[in-house]
Amino acid sequence: MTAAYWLTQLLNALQYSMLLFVLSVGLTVVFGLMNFVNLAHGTFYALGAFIGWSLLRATGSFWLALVGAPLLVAAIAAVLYGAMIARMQRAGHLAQVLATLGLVFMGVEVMRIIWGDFALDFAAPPLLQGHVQLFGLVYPAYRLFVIALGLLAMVALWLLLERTALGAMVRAAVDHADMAAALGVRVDRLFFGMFCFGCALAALAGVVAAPIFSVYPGMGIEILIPTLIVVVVGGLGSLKGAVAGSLLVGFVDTFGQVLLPQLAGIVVYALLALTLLLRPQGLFPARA
Amino acid sequence: MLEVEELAAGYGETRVLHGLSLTVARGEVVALLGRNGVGKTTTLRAIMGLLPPAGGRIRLQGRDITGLPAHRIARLGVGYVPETRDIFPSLTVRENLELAWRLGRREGPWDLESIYAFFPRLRERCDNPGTALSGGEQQMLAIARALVQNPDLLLLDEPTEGLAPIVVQEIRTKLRELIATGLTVLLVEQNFRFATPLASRCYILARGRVAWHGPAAELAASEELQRRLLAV
Amino acid sequence: MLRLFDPLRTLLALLLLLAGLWWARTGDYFGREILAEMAVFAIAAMGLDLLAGFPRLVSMGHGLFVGIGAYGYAVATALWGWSWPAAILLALALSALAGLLVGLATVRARDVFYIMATLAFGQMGYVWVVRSAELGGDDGLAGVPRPELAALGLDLGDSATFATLLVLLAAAVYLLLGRLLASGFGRTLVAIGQNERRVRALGIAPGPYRVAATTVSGTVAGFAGVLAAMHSMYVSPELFHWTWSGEVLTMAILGGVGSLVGPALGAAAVVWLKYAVSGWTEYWGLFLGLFLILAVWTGGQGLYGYLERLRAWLLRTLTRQEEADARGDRTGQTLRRSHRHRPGVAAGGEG
Ligand SMILES: Nc1ncnc2c1ncn2[C@@H]1O[C@H](COP(=O)(O)OP(=O)(O)O)[C@@H](O)[C@H]1O
Ligand SMILES: [Mg+2]
Repeated sequence: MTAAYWLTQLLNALQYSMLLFVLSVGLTVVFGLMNFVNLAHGTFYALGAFIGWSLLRATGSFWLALVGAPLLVAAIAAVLYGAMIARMQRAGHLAQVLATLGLVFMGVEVMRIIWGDFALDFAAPPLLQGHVQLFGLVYPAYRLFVIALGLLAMVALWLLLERTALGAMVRAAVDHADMAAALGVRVDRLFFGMFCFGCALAALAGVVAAPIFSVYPGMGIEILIPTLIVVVVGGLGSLKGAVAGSLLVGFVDTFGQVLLPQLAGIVVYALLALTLLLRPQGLFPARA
Repeated sequence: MLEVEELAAGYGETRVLHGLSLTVARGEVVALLGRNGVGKTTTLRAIMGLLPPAGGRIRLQGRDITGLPAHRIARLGVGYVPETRDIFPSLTVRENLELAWRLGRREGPWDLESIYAFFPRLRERCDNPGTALSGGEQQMLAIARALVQNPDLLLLDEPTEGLAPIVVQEIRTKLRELIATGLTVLLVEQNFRFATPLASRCYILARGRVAWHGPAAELAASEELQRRLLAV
Repeated sequence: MLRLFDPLRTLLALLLLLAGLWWARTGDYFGREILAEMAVFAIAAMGLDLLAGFPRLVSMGHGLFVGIGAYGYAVATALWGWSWPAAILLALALSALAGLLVGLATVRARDVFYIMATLAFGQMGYVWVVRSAELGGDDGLAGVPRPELAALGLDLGDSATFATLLVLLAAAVYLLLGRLLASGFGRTLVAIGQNERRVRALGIAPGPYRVAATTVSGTVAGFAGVLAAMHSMYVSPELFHWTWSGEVLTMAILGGVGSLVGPALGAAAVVWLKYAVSGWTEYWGLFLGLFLILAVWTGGQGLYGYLERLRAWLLRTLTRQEEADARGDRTGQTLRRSHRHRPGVAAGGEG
């Protein structure tokens, strides 16, 4: 257990955290706006990976896949929202949430039909395929890229939410949706926009994760649970919560596997249980 | 300005309002009074479009606004100061006001500068988060946030609730000045002693309907009315 | 609150019971296997209804209790060689304990938050079992025995006998839960589902009721798990997986939560459909998802809700007819039987 070993674990944890952050931020803001959680969020993640795989195969360009897949998935999300979720307004949020569970069941099958049952390989771009020397440590360049991308997303989202008029509107609507509406904010439209944006981010995470984990239909079902834990632990509706939650879950999970291998995978749930008991609102809820 | 006809509203299966009618004329200050829990807040929320009415009609300047979403009603010129103030805690005082101002975009006497001039305390606190304010300051900010949109009609829900007497006095003074500019207000109050000097007419709610309405002076003079309908 | 005796509900339950018993007697081996599976799912779905249909706590983690029941029985019998009554008791105790703990951990969560929390806890069981070598990991545990009832002249190895027993047990669970929900306890649960604030205002703390309901619901689900283990004589971690919980939830919603018999009907219908479509497509999830979406889209009252509407319509038409016959004049004033509104799983709630 050398310093290099621990540094590697640290970077792994950071990389997993960044993936979780990109996944959870859309989910948490949408939750904050309307008390709605998209259980099919993981499905959009998987869909992003598959569409990215097809784009990569068709064009040979990883970068095109990285940009194109989120855009296509956002379009699909917009159609599903308009055709289904928006029309269920009257049935209530719980009905909408359960409908997204239906999308989970259907999504897996659709992906099996289109792309088959087997895991597909997804090559990292040539530029990022090697390893990097870092403080006497050899680390895959692609994973460093994931970390950098996550940090970039954090900064960009922070600027968007804290420094723009749109961001102020989102924060206001998360704080008090009714009051924001009474000032003239179209909360439903914000919600729709954030929903599609969140799905695009999930798809981005899917493409980014693909070279690390490969691509298979069940990948979305697996990632959903850690993502939801991030949302609950971090607190609903806040960027700060998404950052804190994803770092906590990423580090606790990674180091849990290293330090307590006999409890591997369980430690994050203990974290969740503790949070629910001690701070049921999560660490940084938007509505304190 | 505002005509409410036979308004019915409630939450889920429980009805709170069973046919309430009231009118507010341009430039008039009307008080809506009644015991705790009779449905005053519910009335304002229904007018604002935050609660879908189960029956009746609401007209604003002759235009039917029944069932319109809140953001449309806001843009038609209704300002809302809720009972809970609902200052956005993740926005600073300045952001609270700027957001409202940007969304308002209506012609009128108020802009950010004149609002700060009218509520100088808000200028001092403008970089504080919304929640770092005292109760009185929050109330001022809630009123300022509605005003900066230059509404034609202001819905004001219990502006003095939970405030110290000296702060109540301050709010009273500000409201007097505002009313003198000709602002139209529907003022909800549980404390009729605060409301009657400001209002020209009063409605008293009981059991989901208007139980009495008339000139404010009449209510101020009649202890019998006060005892029977307001339990004082 | 559930009415202790509702003619429609009772009629439907009796019909299901009779159809099950008849099928167990006349069906072929494959049919009886399906019937046993229906009974298992019906019990799990009825247990879930106790939470989703009354206090409107939509649990997505019932696989945890089912799995604990199944593994509890399997481990005690197959690995430790316990007798079956002791194994059943252990399994029920463990699932009750799990229900208690989950109930305590989620006591303040509502609506969507509750869904997320239960989802995560259910998945915790999955991860635990998959990674546990002693429990067989991914492969599960085989060699789970069915109870030895030769003393009573019963051979549970016989599929007809076993299916009959499971159908009868499902009926027993239905009766027990019906009694419980028709009591003051059931009334309080419904009140919590409608307006938790008001319940508090009346001086009743909802917490203990919610925890109690989760414990009972978990125990019932654990019992379903025990029966599932006996049925397939094998347990696998799939029982814990959150999509499995989602399937049970879909059955309950499709049948109509808040009626107890609805989820049983939904379980029977979904299991039947699963086998019906398996002949020509391997993409069963497409149908399951579609059913769930349709069920919540149409108001979340499920099949039983449609039956209730049908009854209301019949009653209206009949009373109108009677009146017309009796008076022959004014048909406008019909005697509307006041029909209690039973919101579906998704409707209502506080904002
Ligand atoms: N969100 C809500 N859900 C359910 N009932 C509510 C809600 N808000 C208010 N009520 C009920 O509606 C009635 C009227 O409330 P409200 O309009 O706030 O009264 P007031 O403002 O006159 O004190 C009260 O009995 C209250 O309990
Ligand atoms: Mg009020």
